[in-house]
Amino acid sequence: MVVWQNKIPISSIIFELVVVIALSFMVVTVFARFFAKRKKPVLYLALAYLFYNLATLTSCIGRWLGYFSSVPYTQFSYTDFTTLFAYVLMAIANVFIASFIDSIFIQKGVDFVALFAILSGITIGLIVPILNFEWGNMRSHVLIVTYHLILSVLIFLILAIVSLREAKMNKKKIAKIGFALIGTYAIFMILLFVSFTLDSILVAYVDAFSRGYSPAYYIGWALLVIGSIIGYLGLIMPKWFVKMLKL
Amino acid sequence: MAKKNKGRRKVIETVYIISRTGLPLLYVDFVSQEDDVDAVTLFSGIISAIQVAMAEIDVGVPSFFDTEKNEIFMNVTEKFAIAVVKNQEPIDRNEMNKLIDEIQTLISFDQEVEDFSAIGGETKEVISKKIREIVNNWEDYISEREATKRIKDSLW
Repeated sequence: MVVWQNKIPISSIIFELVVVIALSFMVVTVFARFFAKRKKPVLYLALAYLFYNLATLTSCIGRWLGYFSSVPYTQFSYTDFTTLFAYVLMAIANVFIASFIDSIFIQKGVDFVALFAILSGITIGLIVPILNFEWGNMRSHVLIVTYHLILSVLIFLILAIVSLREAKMNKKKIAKIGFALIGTYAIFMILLFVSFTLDSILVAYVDAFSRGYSPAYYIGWALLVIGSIIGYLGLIMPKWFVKMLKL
Repeated sequence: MAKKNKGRRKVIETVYIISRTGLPLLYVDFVSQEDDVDAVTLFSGIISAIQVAMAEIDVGVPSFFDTEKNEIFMNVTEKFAIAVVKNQEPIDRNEMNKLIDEIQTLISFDQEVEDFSAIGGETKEVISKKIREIVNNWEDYISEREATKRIKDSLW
């Protein structure tokens, strides 16, 4: 295998596949918790993870197709199409995260979720008309991508604030640790979106990264994997972990 | 008592400060904005009468009783009594005691109330405002704990 093919590094196709597998494990465990508990908050979380994983899978498929395609990327760019489509899926996932935040912490009902549904709807409305397989599509719509990523940061900033506040005010050790982990997970997600924003800006405006991959891209995916493990511990609280905390 | 509520449902509906003779010294309503002086006077009288009667028959001054709609938590000091009326939402007893203790500290130590047969004018306004602050902070604190209950119920 060659290191770069069709302007796609082999590291990216391996890296994204690892992330898809890791996130799939999260999706399965959260859905398993939903079938055990059958409560709305865990359903919202499961759907959010499902859509985040579909977004990662879409992006991963794009890289694989692009890497192994015999058609030059300048004629047919899988990666630009799938990356933008992944943002649409992420926008849907964000609405479910907002629903989760509301159902556990804020309890404002329709108003809070509707606000993020509208703002995420704008993301979808802006991206869908520009979805095509033209090379350079991502770079010419960096503002739309930035808007979506800023919105994502806002949602996870709310999750970080309410979780860390809850952790601070809680007196019970397990709950304190659980909420602190959820807050840390949210911070990792914020850093992930910051990395992706930085990556899209670097790729669009810095010649050294014009091939489409900056260090921020790899940092972002690494943050997602680490953050997901932390999120798994905080949100799912597996029995072995609770047992470990009680020792 | 409870009439209409907007936004998140408040747990505390009314706080009464009652003189040892059973007269209402002050009350803060978190649900209704209307003043119903007759109802307040009657409520204060009943609370006081219950306390006196229970003490008389030597079963001790009650600190809690409930009705079909509300739960009433009380605390009696040498100079005044506090009654906190809440809805039926289950709240840890210790959390209710913390709230009442804070209100009691406010009136006993933080404010210079000279005459506990009638709190008047400016002092009344200041105490009412501070009670509102205390209750609102307590509601926020309780709401945080509710998040723990919800996440335990649905995820952990």
